[in-house]
Amino acid sequence: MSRLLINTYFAVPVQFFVVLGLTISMAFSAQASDLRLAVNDTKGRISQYAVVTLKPLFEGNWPTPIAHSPQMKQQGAMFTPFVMAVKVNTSVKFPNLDEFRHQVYSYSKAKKFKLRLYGKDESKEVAFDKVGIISLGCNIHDNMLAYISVTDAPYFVVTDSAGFAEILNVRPGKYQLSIWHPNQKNRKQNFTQPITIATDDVVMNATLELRRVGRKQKPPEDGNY
Amino acid sequence: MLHLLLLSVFPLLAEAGSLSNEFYIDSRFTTSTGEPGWLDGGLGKSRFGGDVDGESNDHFHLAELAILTQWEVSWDLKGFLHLQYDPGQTVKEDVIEGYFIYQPVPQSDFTFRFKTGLFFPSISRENTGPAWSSPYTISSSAINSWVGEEIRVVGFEFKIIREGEMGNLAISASAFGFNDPTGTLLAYRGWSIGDVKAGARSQLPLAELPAIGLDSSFVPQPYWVDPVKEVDNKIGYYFALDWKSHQPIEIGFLYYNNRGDPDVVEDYQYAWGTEFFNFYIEIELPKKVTVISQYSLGSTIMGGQIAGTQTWDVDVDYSAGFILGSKKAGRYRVSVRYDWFDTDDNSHVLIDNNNENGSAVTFAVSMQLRKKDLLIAEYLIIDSYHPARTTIGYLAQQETKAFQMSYRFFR
Repeated sequence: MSRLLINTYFAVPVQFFVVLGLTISMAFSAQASDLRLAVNDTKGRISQYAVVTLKPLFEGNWPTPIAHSPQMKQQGAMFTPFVMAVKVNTSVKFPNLDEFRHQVYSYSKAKKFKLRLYGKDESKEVAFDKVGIISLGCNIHDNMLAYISVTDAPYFVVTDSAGFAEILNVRPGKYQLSIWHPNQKNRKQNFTQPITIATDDVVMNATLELRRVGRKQKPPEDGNY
Repeated sequence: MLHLLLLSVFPLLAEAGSLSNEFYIDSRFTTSTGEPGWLDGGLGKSRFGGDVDGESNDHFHLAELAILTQWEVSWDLKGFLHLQYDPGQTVKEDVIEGYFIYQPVPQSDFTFRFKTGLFFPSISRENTGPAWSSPYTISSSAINSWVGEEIRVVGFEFKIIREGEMGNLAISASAFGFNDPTGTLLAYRGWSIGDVKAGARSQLPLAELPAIGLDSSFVPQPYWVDPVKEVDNKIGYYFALDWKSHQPIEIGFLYYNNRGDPDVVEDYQYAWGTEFFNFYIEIELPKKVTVISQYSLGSTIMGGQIAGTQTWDVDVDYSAGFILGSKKAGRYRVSVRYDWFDTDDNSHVLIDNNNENGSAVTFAVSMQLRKKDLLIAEYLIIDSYHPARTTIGYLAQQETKAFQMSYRFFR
């Protein structure tokens, strides 16, 4: 509605542009629908940190998203965020915001690396060139744990603390919806479901089978690093 | 010798890598009734006991001062030195721990950790705080009080940790020396509930029991023990299995055997043949409630084998256990622990009775101050039956009640 008003407003001086503007805006609203998803587990508990991806089941050109240099911070002997999703070939920054050292490593198949981060404000970068789940640890602080999900899907998002995920402006068509969670019962088997995005927004729920108590990143004991 | 080596090696190498120091000071107010404490020559069970006449004994004092040095030699190699000043001990300045840990970055689900130096075998589930303190209580359980007093090894420990889908499984194995007189306190004094930490040079007192003493016709055990000492030049070992589930539950066991040759004496100290098992379970319940339980059982022998028997001059079986429940609420923590303990003498009971049994209840409340300082108050009741008390003028059955308040400064 607002888009229509803006177009109409700018279109006032020249009739032609009014028509063109309306056509373009209506065409866009018809092409792009939103997907809203609430994720919970079988006990009905909301499920944060679920990585939701949408892979098209049709051919098409997908623009490379603008690089936004995501950051996996180390702060208070914890990784933040706990779960991150990135497009394949993205470089992730690892800034150390602590006064002390971290030795970040991964031995996951999709990317093996180790980073030595001496202290305050030192940052290093890793490019993730293979699709997969990367589990991060720190060789100095056993409590530290985080995951990076590297995907080639054009649409991806991590559920927030309300277990909610929103993907805006999805092209109409058939997709495979896939959800990965660090504590899913069957590690090798993601939640998957084919969905069709038409002209209307899609609002849906997904229920995952999660472990009763999964792996968590615990804060260090009593501020003792 | 060992402490001199450690003290000299650390600063020399300190130029490389990064070195950080932390200070831990435990100031203590104690009021206690019952028999005198074992550090004051009695057969008492607590670190600070009552007066000779059993009246209440009030102390306001420094319980300990510790310097904890962490040295990050390289990314994979770390050193740790724990020096202590304890005015209540014969040897006041001491090295409690001094070791290196080499842990390369994992390349697979397996983590390898190699440790060498002077260290505590990982037995205690309570002493996880700075300077081997317990965040739950002031006095450790009977098992871990004994670990603090007599179990320290100089050697190697190799640990493999497998990270799995359900949790982490760890296997450790160690070869060590310098822990031969271990068992002396359990045999002659019995169990205790306290927080004394022995070090590389420590000399801990024994009560002047008629059965012992350098001029004893039975065994010439002096009225002291040097727990960290090599006597028989035989290598001891321990191995452990630990399972840490992603469910909030941890279980494990450790088997220790110092392989002491009970007939060998050096500098008046016997090699005691001491072995034991330790089992533990730790559960984290909802609402920040932790439950910890440990159970240990073992035996110690010293002196000659009694002809035609499988017993030795001093031959004591022992066991102890505890269950501790603790709840954390913001800056506060409330803990309660029940201990039970027992020693069973297998030889010469008429002249050298080392039997004992008892139990203890400990209540503690703590409050986190500033960033790392802790104020902790504890009430402790220990009830025990120890017949050897009658040989030094006390009743066999004794009850000790102690209230302690501790301010732990840690920077």
